[in-house]
Amino acid sequence: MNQKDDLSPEASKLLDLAREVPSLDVARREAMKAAVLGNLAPGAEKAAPRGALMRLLRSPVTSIIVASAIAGIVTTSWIDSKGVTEADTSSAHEASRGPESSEPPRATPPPEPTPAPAETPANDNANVPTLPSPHALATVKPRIPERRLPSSNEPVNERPRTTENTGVDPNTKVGSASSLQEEVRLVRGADAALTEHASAKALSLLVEHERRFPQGTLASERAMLVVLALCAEGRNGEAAAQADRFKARYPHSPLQDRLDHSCAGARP
Amino acid sequence: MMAAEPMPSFVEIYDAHIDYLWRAALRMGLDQASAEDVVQQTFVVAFRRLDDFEGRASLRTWLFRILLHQVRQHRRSLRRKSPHAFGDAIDPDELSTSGDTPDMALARSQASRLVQHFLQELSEEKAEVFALMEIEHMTGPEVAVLLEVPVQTVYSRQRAARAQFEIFVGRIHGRGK
Repeated sequence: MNQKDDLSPEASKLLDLAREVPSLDVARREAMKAAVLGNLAPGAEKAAPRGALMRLLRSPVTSIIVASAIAGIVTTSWIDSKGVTEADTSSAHEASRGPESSEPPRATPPPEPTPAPAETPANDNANVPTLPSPHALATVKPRIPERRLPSSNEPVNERPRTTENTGVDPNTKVGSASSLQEEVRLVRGADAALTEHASAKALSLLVEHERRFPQGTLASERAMLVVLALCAEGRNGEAAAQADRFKARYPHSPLQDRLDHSCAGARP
Repeated sequence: MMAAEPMPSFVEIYDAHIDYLWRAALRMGLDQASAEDVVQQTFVVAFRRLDDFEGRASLRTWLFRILLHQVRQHRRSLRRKSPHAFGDAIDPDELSTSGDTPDMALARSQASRLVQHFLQELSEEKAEVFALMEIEHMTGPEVAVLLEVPVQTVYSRQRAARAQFEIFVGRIHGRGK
């Protein structure tokens, strides 16, 4: 039923003109996306008006993290799917191993229990999770659960899906609202820790992020913060190595600018 | 057992529906700043309630329903704060980036403001029906499902809104009060 014809020509013309609304430009679209992401993060439980959202994002660190994360999401996913991630996603683990780990082995350490960030006091290096040294990692064998065949009278149970070995919840889809909230919490926590000069705490949060979200939406932010944390720790050589990896993996990332101003940026 | 279809990620949902919701918010009479607020709130609410989405309607319809609710709340808030507000002045930047000739851009912008003003004059129920049917080109049954009202109610509101719109247009053209 089309009653448009019932309207007078003037009314129809006015409606036709009004129907053409301005499209959403890219900058506004991304800013809005970042604002929504920021609002979904823990600590922002109450739906806030735009002013509050934008104030949240006005923090230069938060905004660059969230906005650039969005810009890199598609690239990250594609690159990850091509298997390029291996070198980069291990950056947080490598970074936290120690000064001599510039070329660490690829063996993935078993997940270490990480203290909840909220319980980790700033500037307290004692709470940084202990990670295996590179030498230990070189010889460590992956923890593979022994398999044995059940006896004939033993009931066969389906193996439960756990996070025991990978630390990654198989039911958590990267980019889902809940995982994004958690990613934002970890990365924002690491960023805040860096601001408070608690680089060890920052590294511990980044390690946790990598363990739980190796190919997460905020992987590029994690990689960038690892460099900054290493700089803050005075581990400039490692920071430079990680920065090179970052540049190779995210050549067009807006986060690069931040690295250029770090200890890893001022190089010939 | 059939596996349930996985829920799209935040980014997938946002990218797929942001343009639609943005246009819909503007067509429902919001200015750009208000549309930005309302659309953001729509996504925030949607993602907090994603578990409530039952899949009976399409995701777009579900989002649109949330948008409608947000627009209602926004209008109520606006009426409380400034009952005689007429909306923003025309922004020259918007005109210069619209791709139209300046005359046409100005005409579109003015038309949009006029319709915004008209929608603000209408009751909430009529404004919704008018925007959905006359501007979004939804059918009566579609609007009835969306608003969860009988289809005859939809048509009744549409008729009343149209009559008011004709009076409004007549006023613009100096044909009465």
